[in-house]
Amino acid sequence: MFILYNIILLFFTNPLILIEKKPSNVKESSAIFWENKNLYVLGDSGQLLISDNKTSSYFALDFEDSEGIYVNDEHIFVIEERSRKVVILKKETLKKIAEKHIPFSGRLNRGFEGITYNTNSKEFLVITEENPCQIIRLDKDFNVIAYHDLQISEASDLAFFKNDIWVISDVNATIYKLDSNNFNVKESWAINVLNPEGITFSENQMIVVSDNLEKIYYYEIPQ
Amino acid sequence: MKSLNNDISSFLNFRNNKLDSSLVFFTTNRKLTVFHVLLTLFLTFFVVNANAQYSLNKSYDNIEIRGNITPFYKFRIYPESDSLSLIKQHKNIMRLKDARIRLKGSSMKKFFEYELHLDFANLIDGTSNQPKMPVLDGYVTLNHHIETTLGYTKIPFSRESMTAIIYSPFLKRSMIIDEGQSRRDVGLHLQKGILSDKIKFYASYVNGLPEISKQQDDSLGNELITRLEMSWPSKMKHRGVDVAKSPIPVFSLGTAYRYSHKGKNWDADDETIWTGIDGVKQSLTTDFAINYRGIQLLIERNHISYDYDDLYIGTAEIDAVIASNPSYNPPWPDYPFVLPENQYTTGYLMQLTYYLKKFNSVFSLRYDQANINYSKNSEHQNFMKGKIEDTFAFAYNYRLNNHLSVLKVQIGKTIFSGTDIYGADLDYSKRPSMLEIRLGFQYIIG
Repeated sequence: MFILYNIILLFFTNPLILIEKKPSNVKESSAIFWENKNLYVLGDSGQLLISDNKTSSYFALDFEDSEGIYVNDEHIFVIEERSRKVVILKKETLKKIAEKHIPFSGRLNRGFEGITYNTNSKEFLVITEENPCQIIRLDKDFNVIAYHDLQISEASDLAFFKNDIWVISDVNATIYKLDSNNFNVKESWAINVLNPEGITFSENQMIVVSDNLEKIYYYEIPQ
Repeated sequence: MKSLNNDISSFLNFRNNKLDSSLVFFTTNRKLTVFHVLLTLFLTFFVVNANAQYSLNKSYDNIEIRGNITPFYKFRIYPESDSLSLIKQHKNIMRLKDARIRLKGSSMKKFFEYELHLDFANLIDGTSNQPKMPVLDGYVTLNHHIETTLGYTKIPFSRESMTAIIYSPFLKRSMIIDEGQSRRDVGLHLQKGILSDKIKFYASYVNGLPEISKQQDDSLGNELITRLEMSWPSKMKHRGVDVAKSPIPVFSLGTAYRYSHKGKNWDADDETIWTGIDGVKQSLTTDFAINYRGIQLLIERNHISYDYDDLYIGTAEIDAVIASNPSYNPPWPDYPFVLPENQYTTGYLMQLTYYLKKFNSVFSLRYDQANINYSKNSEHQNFMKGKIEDTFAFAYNYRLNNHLSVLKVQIGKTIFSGTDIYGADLDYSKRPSMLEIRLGFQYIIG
């Protein structure tokens, strides 16, 4: 009866359509970002995968507890959960060029989980895990503009895509679409992945990474 | 950060002024001096908390302040007709289970990690005016290929034991874990995970004493504990509730072995599960757990064997007679030794827990049995049955938030049976069964 209930639940409440899944081979994969045909996967202790259609390259970077990644034309921005930092790397050389401290006094292991960039407002956004679960808005120099408490209880990563903010929660096993102006939840989808820790979007796919299973899941973008 | 520093210094000035008078009082009573110092520390950190600062960062040096407060009410119901009921029925009390503060941090990008964990509720002891040990953890870890920890912390011998009580649906652990063996000790602790921590190895080399001691262990001998834990398809944390409602089944299988050879009995009476004996104590634990869609099943078996050293009780007079007359028959066959019988303690634990997220509720059923100090010699009264405690328990938790502020209810019925070999109450089945209800509230600081 229990199994039947779960099968029914799966069919009727999980409209996310999985296209394929692949191993990431990155220990404790906790962050993912798609940029210009390249997929970046970052592990907790600094292992970085950069992959295109043909090749996969692995790098060992020196991080303490790297939980989020954002990449633009010139730089890679990595968020350090425990130390409350954004570390900026030169994209071509992977050399550290700066780090910025962002004040947040929650528990060390309940700190920063993801970083993204709102191309409309020209602000960086950092999300915290829980207690409190917040989005922190930062200007281009990483000065805090504001802290916003979210309606959701736990977050593992965030992404900015087509004018919305997408948040993934591993404890709630849910993907949320938030209004980028007031951060209210517009829609949500249950996700059937163990310990999903990262989310990003390519042109036509939503990509999720599982920390514990070290796998990458490719979905159709939910409408 | 700047404001925090100001807050701390102004607070300390204020607090020191306030406490000057109490200091005079406390220092007149040496027993309470330790308590006073710890109280000052606690209040310091508490006010830091009140300023909403739970963590501090200095580049890659980080420290956080956490803790929990768990008061509860305990009452017991015995059969009215039993004479023991008259003695025990007035034992219903309110208690402070935990009043804990924890400083935990790391430096050099987690090359060093450390923890100081104090429980002020431990200072309260109704049976003695002596302050008890408030330290729950005090260690430093060096992370370089192997996690090497020096200090006082949990011993890796059982999944139930390694799960912090704040993550358990129950207010009290099962008998075999709670009172079975020492759960914390001071020494060297090693830990190594491979395959993304799906396989973990643990080893501890510790004093093997029931509590922290400044004295040399005059019983001689330390204790070695090893544990192997395998999980699939991913690592499995030590948690009592499947909060993430795992969409796929996650299994864990663990086994642990403990060995000590001491020269003195610790906590030894007929009803107690002995921490150490005058001889070899070995313990084998096996545990299995599965998480799936909010359900957690935990099964454990703990088996302890006590192999006593032979007791020398010969006398010089008899020795002299035997030496002078080889045909003399000694007073007993094994003279000058007495060969004590080996004894055993075995415990089982089965726990089924379900997290009903929609109603912020956790339900848990637990059965545990402890068969204490039995013999395998059929000539003994406690042949295969020492003092046996069967406990059937139910727990309900209402989670007020995601931060483990939890209302906990625990109802348990314990039935006694079996016999001992030495004591006056040979038949434990004559003891009244006990229905115990605990109502508690767990609040997490930090």
